[in-house]
Amino acid sequence: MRDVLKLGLVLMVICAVSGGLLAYVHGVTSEIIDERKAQEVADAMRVVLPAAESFEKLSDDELASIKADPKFVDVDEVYEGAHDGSLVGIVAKVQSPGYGGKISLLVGMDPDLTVTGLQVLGHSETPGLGANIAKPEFISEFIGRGGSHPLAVDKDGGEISAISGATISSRGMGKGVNLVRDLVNALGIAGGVGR
Amino acid sequence: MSPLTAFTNGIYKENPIFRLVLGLCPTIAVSLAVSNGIGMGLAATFVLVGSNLIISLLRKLIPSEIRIPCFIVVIATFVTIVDLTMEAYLPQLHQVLGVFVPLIVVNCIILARAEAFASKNGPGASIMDGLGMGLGFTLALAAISIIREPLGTGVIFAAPDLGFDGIRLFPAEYAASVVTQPVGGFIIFGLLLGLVNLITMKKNDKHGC
Repeated sequence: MRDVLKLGLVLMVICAVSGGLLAYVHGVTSEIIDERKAQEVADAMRVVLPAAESFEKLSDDELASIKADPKFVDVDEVYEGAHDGSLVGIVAKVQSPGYGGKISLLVGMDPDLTVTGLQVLGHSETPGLGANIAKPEFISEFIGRGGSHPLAVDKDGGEISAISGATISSRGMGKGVNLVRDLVNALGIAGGVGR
Repeated sequence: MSPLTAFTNGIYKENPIFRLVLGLCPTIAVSLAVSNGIGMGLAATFVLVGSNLIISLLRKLIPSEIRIPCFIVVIATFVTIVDLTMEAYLPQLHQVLGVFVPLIVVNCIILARAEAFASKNGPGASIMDGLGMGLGFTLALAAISIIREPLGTGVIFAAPDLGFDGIRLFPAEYAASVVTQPVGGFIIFGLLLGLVNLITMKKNDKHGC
């Protein structure tokens, strides 16, 4: 019996010291991590929808009602961008299927369904091949495109030049952008008419 | 064992990857780019040195019945420190290494060194053992990734955290993407392992044993 108590006590002391140490490290690093993440999101939004001066996040309830449609389960966050009180577009954070996993995208789109900006927030594509989707050269393929028809890569007869050797990753990006296009249509803000 | 032998032991004679053949899961998974391999190697080195030191200091206080949970708690603490620090200061590397950073907890090299070395030796020798094993792991990862990265992508030494795109050796169209898959990883690893064994055999022959 005494042995059990002693063993438990030793383990408890080690765990307590470890917990204390980790609490300290977490305290130091969490500020930097949170700040960096918030900064990343704020910067990215301004880049993908330059016309907007303020952003308003769609509430959890509104988002939940969007996600009730199975088509939109991969929509993570939606922001409406406004300038002088009128809606100039939306910024949506979406997931889309890539080659090595999900690609996390931030897409800015105006009510005319044109892509105003695009950022890759995270991906697990192959370094040197699919990972090039995050490069400005490829992202610029999308910007200013859209409008009357959905986007597609050149191999599928579309206008986006896919990255050589990484068609699946390139298609994944296209899918993410088209998801936002559907979202703009579903929100009923397409065509420049406010909700 | 002198501290120096403890140090050099891990680099070649008992290299965790090429001689002990331990910790292959992270090895195959992260050796896609030299910067990833070195980042992973240094993270593991930090954990090894830290956990070896603490376990060596506590070796007389930890009852043998519960040594494994104690070791794991110590190792997990260091791993979490590395994980959080990396996320704060090297976000891109952290994103690429992903789940393999927390998985250092169950990396058999680390528990093996705690059990086989640190729990039986003094703190000085244990630190040297951790450094040697860690550097051996890092060098092995660098050796594998220095072959896999250019063959698989056509680029070498890409390091996104340092804002360096790497040196392009040939266009991406000619890259063999099978090398970036686990299959290619095992093939390259097998060839290197054979080479290391060959060198070791040659060396032993010379000494007449």
